[in-house]
Amino acid sequence: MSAELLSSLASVLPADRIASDPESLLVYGYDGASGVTGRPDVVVSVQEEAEIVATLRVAESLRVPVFPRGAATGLAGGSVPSCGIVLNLAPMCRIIEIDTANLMATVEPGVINADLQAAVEAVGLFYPPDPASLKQSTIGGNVATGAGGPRCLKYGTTREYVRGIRAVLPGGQVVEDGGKYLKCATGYNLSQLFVGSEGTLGAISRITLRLLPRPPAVGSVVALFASLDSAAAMVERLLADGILPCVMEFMDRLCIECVEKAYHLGLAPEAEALVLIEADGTPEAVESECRRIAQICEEGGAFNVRRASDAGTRADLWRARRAVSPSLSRLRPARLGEDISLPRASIVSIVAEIRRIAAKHNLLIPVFGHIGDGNLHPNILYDPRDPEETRRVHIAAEELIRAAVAAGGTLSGEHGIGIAKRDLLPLALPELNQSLCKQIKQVFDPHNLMNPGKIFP
Amino acid sequence: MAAAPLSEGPETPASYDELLACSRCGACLPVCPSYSATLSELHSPRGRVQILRALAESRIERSPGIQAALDSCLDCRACETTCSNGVHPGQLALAERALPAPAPGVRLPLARRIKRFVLGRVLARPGWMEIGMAVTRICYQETGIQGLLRATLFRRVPLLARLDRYLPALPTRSVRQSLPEVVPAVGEQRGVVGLFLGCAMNTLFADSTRDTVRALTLLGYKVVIPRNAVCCGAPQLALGERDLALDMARHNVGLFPNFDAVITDCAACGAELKNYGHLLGTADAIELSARTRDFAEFAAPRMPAVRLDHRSLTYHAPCHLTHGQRVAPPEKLLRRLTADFRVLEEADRCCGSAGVYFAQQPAIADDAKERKQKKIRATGAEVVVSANPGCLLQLAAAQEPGDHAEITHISRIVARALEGHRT
Repeated sequence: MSAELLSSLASVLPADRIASDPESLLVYGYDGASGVTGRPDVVVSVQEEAEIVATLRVAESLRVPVFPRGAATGLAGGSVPSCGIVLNLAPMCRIIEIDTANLMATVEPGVINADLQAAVEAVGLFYPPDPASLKQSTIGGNVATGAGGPRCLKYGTTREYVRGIRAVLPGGQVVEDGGKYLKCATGYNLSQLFVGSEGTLGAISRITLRLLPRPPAVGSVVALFASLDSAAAMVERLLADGILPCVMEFMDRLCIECVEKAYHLGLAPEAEALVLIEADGTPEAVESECRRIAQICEEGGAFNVRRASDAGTRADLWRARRAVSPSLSRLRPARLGEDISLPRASIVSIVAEIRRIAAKHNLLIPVFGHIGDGNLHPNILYDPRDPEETRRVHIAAEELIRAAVAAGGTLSGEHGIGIAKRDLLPLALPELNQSLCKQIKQVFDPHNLMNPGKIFP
Repeated sequence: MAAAPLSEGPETPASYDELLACSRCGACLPVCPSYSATLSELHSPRGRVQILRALAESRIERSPGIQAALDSCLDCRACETTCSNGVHPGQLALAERALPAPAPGVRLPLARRIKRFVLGRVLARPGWMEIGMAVTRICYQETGIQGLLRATLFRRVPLLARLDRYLPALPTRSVRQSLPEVVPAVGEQRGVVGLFLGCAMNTLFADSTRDTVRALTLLGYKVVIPRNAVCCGAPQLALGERDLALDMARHNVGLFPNFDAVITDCAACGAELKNYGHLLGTADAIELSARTRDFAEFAAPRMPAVRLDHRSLTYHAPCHLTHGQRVAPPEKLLRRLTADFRVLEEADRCCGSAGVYFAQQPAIADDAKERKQKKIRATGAEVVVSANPGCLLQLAAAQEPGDHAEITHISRIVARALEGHRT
């Protein structure tokens, strides 16, 4: 089987695209999700769409599963293979066009988010989606997982920016949908169907993205609170005051401790909550909004309010914020990173519930996330070498998701389901919805070859 | 970007817990020159750490492919500055590269015997290197043989052509041949420092190190230059001959007693001297590591208010200073020396020189070199300042027709500024 697969691939692809040595199979068998690994039979690293087509033809004729992969930085195991072909799209990393007249960019899937941001900013434009992994994650992966990021509060997730898709379907057919237009009421929106599809429908080969004019100024305010309640109340007050910041990020005491260990930013460890707020727009608007934000924080009981408008201080704060997730490994070697998305008003009650669950199961569950848009990342920490603790983690995770759904929320806001959250999907998605989704997949992928074993239990 | 304010300095690597601490987030991917050049996970810090973990867990066996993945690491340590979990992929890969020390009585293959002769004998004898330099200068550069070989042999042997391209115009005398062992302070003496003479600085860049000594004396320091110092041990470690590196370290440790500081103007030597404490674990090694300072690190806070250059300057930050020693670029110092300092984008990204890496891994080294040269061109600076012999060679080799920037060691402009200040 494996020999036939290798020889079939070798007959349609240049030799250097194919790897099946043990070390390649090892390093293409993981992503950023802890505790989830697999091993493919072969890794195919493609340079252009025609090579994706060739690969998917071989895969269909031999009925071999295909696992598309960008930079493998996902947190749900969405790109982790269990067998078959890893389709490595990282080498397809050309920015094909930045159309300044139509404010659209067309890119290959392997383009790194930060590279796209830098390229469009160089011509005065702006690509808002900014997942914490933006320096290393690919646009293709961002689209496939429906990636978000701090700026979603004001600007929305990757979904809001996808205007067109080219994708290779199982068997090698190429579908093209959408284009450089903003409005579309022409039938079902297939481009949007690929957003968040986690590689289960086809392999995305080209993406057209909407751009915005670049806001000329950004300002930051950092505030520490002695309780989460007062931080959440401040968020309500702020929005009621008619201010829509572009960012409102939050981390709890455990996260503050971890970040402090790594970066020594002088954050008071006695704080229960740190909130990072950013406003963007014209310099005058940013100045007055930041002043008002700082004032509302102080009135709301913040005990340490700092404003940062210089690039260096902002860079430090963002390094710290983006390091939260990986730096949690300083506490325990593994973690189950949750990604619950809730109505904003439920945040205080859900955090209290998370604390209760942590105490009940004797686990560390630091919480951080996007307090402005209701997307939180409780991370259940554990040591995989401790089977008893590992068992408690899964019970706690289920209780946590049940609580989030009961509060009107859902399982994942921006990471996707992948393998890590697959078994909990039924808690968040009714039977009928699951069934409709599976039928859609069946239409695209009748032999269940595209990223099998993901999303659906 | 400035060096990350991480708490951990370089550590002796290799605990299994450190391998587990990698969360596989991939933050190290974009800062890694070998990943950027290949876009291959095998040649990434994350990939290397996962390979080491699999080896430790006996899930995979040592293979030529694994050796290649370890060897493609430039040892620039940018991954270590970036990692928020305190993992040191560069040092882990380096430790795993170590070959078994030869057992007594066992005859090694010829290639390794030659390698060990160069690393263990030649680099332990500065006098031999000085003779080698004189022979190369007189018999090769000054006779026309260089030109002849360029037109003939080098066209067929790319490695030789490459080495030739990197060879700078050689000075007539080494530092040892031109300076006494003790150089007194100019004016009132503020202290006594030891100077560690690196192999390349003593020979290829002797003019720069003479300026290092001049600058230190002008700053009021008596400079002692132990003549029997040998190679710092960095090349031996990079090439897997750990036992030879330990020999070098043991020899050098005894040569620098009771100085206010031990100065080096080579970033790679500095990183290694600061690593002696971990490498040997002895009290005198720990003491030497604690007293070691890079030249600019030492000079910057002691500089009088001087202004030198009417020309525009930019600064390339050597990896072994920024990432290896976590010493921030001397930007304040440079801004005092020139009114026109230009910030180099990605200044702390490896230029691809990396010891002998430029000769071993030309494709990856050239990718890094070209990326660096593009950023240098974008500054438009007339002078590119750096602080490591490997970087200086690489930045010179990176220049193409149309590139006219002067590539220089920071000692040269600091010494010139201090001379001007004095007169």
